Amino acid sequence: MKGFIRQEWRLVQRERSLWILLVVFVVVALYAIYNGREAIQREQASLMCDTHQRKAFLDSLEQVARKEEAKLVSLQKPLEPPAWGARHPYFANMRAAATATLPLLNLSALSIGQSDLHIKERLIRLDSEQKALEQDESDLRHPLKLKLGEFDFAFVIIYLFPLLILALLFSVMSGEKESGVLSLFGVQPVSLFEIAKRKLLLRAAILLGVAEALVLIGVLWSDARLEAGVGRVVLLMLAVLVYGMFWVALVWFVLSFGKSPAVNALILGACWIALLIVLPSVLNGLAEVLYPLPSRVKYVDAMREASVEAERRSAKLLEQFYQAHPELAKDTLARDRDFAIKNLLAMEEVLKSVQPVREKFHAQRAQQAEFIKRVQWLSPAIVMQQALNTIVGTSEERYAEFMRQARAFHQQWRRLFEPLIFQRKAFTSYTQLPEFQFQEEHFAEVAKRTLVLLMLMLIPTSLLTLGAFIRFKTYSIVL
Amino acid sequence: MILTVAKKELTETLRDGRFRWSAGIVLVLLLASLFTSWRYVSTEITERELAKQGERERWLNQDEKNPHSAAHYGNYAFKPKHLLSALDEGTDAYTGVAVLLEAHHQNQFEYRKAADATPVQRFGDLTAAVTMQLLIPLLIILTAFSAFTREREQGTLKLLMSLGVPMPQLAFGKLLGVFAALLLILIPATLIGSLVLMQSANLSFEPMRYSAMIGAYLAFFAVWCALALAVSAKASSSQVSLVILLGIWFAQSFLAPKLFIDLAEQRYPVPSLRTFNQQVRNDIRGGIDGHNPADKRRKELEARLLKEYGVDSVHKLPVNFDAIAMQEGEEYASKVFDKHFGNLYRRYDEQSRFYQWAGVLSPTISIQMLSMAIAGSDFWHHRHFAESAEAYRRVLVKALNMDMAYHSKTGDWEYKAGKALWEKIPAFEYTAPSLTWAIENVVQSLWILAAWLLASLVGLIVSVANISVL
Repeated sequence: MKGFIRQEWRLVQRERSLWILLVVFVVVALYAIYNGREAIQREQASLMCDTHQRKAFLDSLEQVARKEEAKLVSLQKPLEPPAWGARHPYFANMRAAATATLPLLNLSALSIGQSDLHIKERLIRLDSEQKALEQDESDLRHPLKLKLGEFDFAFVIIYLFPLLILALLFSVMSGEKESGVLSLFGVQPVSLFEIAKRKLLLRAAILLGVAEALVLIGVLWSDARLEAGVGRVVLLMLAVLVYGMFWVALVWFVLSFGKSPAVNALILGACWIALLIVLPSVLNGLAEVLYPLPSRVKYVDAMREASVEAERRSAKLLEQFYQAHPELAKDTLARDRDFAIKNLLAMEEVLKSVQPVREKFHAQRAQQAEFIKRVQWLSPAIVMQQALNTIVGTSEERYAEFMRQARAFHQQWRRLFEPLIFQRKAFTSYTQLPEFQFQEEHFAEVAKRTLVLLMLMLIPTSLLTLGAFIRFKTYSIVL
Repeated sequence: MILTVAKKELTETLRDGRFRWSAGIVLVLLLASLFTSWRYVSTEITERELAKQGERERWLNQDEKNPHSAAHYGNYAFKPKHLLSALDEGTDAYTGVAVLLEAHHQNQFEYRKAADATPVQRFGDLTAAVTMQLLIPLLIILTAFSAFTREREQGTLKLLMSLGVPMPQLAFGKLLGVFAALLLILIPATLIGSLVLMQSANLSFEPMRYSAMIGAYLAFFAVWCALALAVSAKASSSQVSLVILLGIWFAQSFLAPKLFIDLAEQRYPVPSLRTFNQQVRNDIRGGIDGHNPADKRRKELEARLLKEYGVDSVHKLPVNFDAIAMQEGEEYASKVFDKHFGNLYRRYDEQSRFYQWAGVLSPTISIQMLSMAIAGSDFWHHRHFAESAEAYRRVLVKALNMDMAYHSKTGDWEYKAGKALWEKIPAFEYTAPSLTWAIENVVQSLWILAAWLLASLVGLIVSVANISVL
């Protein structure tokens, strides 16, 4: 058997097309890694927040506030309720607004995913919550660029890698069959299944080896110090291995029918098109038809309507508020002029009335994601996309986690400022303002989600392998 | 002779189960995508129209308030959708649906549909355009890859040549045959498509745009037919022909678009949003040239007005100085916006132009650009709307500032305007650009596609003329 592999390796060495295609593949992959790295670095540069600058800015606000205080003291005016200025809690909240930033992992360069559409910076302040957490102020990119998608390593692995496997393996058996060598093997004391396996596995091993090497190059190039942890690198290599194995198993299965190379090429090409183009777009289309999102246009419309209504009722809202909180109704003079309180009440009102539309939106959106989750196993390409995004930190789940933390931080911000505003107290804690810090997903969580996805690819892989095993038993060795 | 060959080719194609199946699938996908997109687009058209009316009503019926408050309340402009974007969504999902027009800021568009979608959308949308740009070329490959190689493999090519069949006639006959097979799905698709689109209540069906789109795609398909036949004539075997054609298809449909838009972006970089916003702010505050900061501009204005009215304090002016200063600020900011948005759009234009040139290597790029332009869903259409909305914003804010300037005194923020003023400001009416305008933007792609058509036909004749019999 050793002799067989050595012989086969000699044959492989002489296959010019194999090496040419491999070189093309490697060049394209290297460009993709470089390109993803550029994209991520560009974005990281624009996301960088300078903590020193922030601290200096807050200190300067505190200085301004002290000066204002000193002036009031010299004029023998009371410090509370605070006048409009650096001690006014509403003013302070607007000027010292915090930013919730979703940091990008260096490893994300390998699979940009939806991350080019995510808004990774959220301004946290007592503005309407809609503005803080929904506003879609996107980075400046040509929309056509966004539409066509990033030329990243994930693209090369998901689209090009299977194509390479198909192109190099589809004629493995048939060439031998046509030349009659296969019937010679038939007289040897080895099963056909074994021969097919070894011929295929040797080539598959070369391809998978090259792909894994590229993964390592990609990791080292984009995340030289392995900040994302070795675990993620292992997962990445595992995912590429499993995805590659699926396509190898598919070729193997198709080959086991013993058709001519042209027919095999057609069938495999059709599979590639079905799994990478037709199925994903059909499934995405289905998700949109089955669980349509409430129109954003209607949402804006409802929000505008609600804000007009809230404005109209603002005097009444204020009245109701003081009835509910008689202890706060001390300052009768400034009461109806207190625009900060009015603003907060109106905001609350708008939020309350668009809440149903919002909930409906998020529910439908969750249903779409759930639907995709339920049917994604139909196309390993979709599963692979999700797996890569999960591993490198550009997944939907990570973004959702960021939004959850940002929302919690926004609540914290409200709890800090709203009581001061309602009680007309001065804001005195510029130097102790909370800052947002994203709590990275636990590796165990990432690993768990990834392994589930990999299982979804392993199941069809094993079925195809089994199918091939059965078929090869009855494989015809003559034309 | 041509017709005989075409007939033979057509019959053979139709007898092929693979063709029937794949043609059936393509047709079903085409119609399904057409129907779902049409449903989405026509509700979207209606909703945006309704929202636009609602916005106007709210504007007219708003309470009495200070004009500047009204300017901050502003007006939402909803981007109308072209009906034909049901065929090609273009960049619509990536540009947002509405923009708030308010004092001081030229805002970004909000709510990009793509940002709300699942990540699977990045594999491509289920639209007629995707089917026509990706799947129909595959169908053509399937029909044509063995057109010549099979004749050679079966030995019929020898017979044909010994009969003295002129090779160009054979080539055109086959071309016609392949094309005819294609028409069998295209004609019903086109007819059903136009029937569906004409169902739209608001009569926004534009026959000219629809015909232009059909014409562009037919040219694109013809390029593919000729290309596939030429490769088939040159290839040593059916298998080789298929692999080469699939390689070309992948390179043109996936590698080239992604690669060239990337190169365009690297060659003509745009600033990040943060830098852009900072530059705008700096220019407004410190002056475009850095010599004319905002407070100096304000002082100069003050001095000028005091001199003009012959008074010594802004409070003695018969007009509201704050309002006039705000309007001056708006006008200065407009200059700054024009400068920066102008630069940004110029960069996008350069990127688009670079990308269009890449059509020389991939006709898919040319048809993409043409198709989006005709469907009214490309970036130029978005920009056209954005610029009209911005022009309206300036009119709106100016009217409000001027009212405040001449109806109240400096420092009087209690002044309130009412319905009379709201009504005086006309509603935002947008006229969509014409087809000619749309084509002019992508005229490069039009010429490149025409060149491809010519080149592929010549290529077919040349490769068939030198066909090897063995």
